[in-house]
Amino acid sequence: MTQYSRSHHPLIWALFGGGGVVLAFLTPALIIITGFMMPLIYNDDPAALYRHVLGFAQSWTGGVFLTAVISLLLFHASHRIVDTFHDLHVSGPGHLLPILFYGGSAVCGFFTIFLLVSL
Amino acid sequence: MNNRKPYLQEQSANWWTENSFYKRYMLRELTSVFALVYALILLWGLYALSGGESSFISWLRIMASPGMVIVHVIGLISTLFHTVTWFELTPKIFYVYLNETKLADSKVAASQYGLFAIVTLIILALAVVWLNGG
Repeated sequence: MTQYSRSHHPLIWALFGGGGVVLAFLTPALIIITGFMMPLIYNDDPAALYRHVLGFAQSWTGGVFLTAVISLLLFHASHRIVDTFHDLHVSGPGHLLPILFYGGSAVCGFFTIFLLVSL
Repeated sequence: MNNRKPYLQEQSANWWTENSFYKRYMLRELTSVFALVYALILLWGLYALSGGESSFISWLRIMASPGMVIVHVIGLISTLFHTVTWFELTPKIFYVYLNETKLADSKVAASQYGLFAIVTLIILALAVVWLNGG
């Protein structure tokens, strides 16, 4: 009897798709907030801004939101970058590129959770 | 012994420069680089936040520098291009049926733009209230 091993594709696709949705629906607004509003517009009282952002990151909703956004964006981007290297005929030595990008995303995802828990 | 002799079509590494459809495809793939950069900027901000008030404020100052503003402008344009391409591809893999007839791709796309506008306005409105100390 043939033993079939489970494909990792559904997992990768779920993370890629989730990241694509986060990038399409939420990221433009987030870039406006963290890239323009926080550093350029609401910067007259940085100490108050620090307390606001800390309060958000310490809350359950804020923590889950930040973990989801950061890790899903990283997986989405990594999947596309690895695929595009393949399209550009760059296969890299061994499995270096997938290990570097998927592994790096996983490490950054766990680091995000670690930082949020230690706040 | 393996007698398989598959036909492998030759493809040059710069195949995507051949026509505008391929170029647009590569431009879409490039948007992921900015997604990666922005995710790392957020992680950097979180790291600065965990270091206390002064480290968070120095992160904010770096974000206000002209170079980082340019990075965010490019990132915003790139992400909006991703949004357009994502809404184009969703109807191709996600079929919506109403009364046993498939909803037209243009309607699926339009409903996504509507949802996108609502979500963006809600997030920005919440941020304005929140940043004003509400």
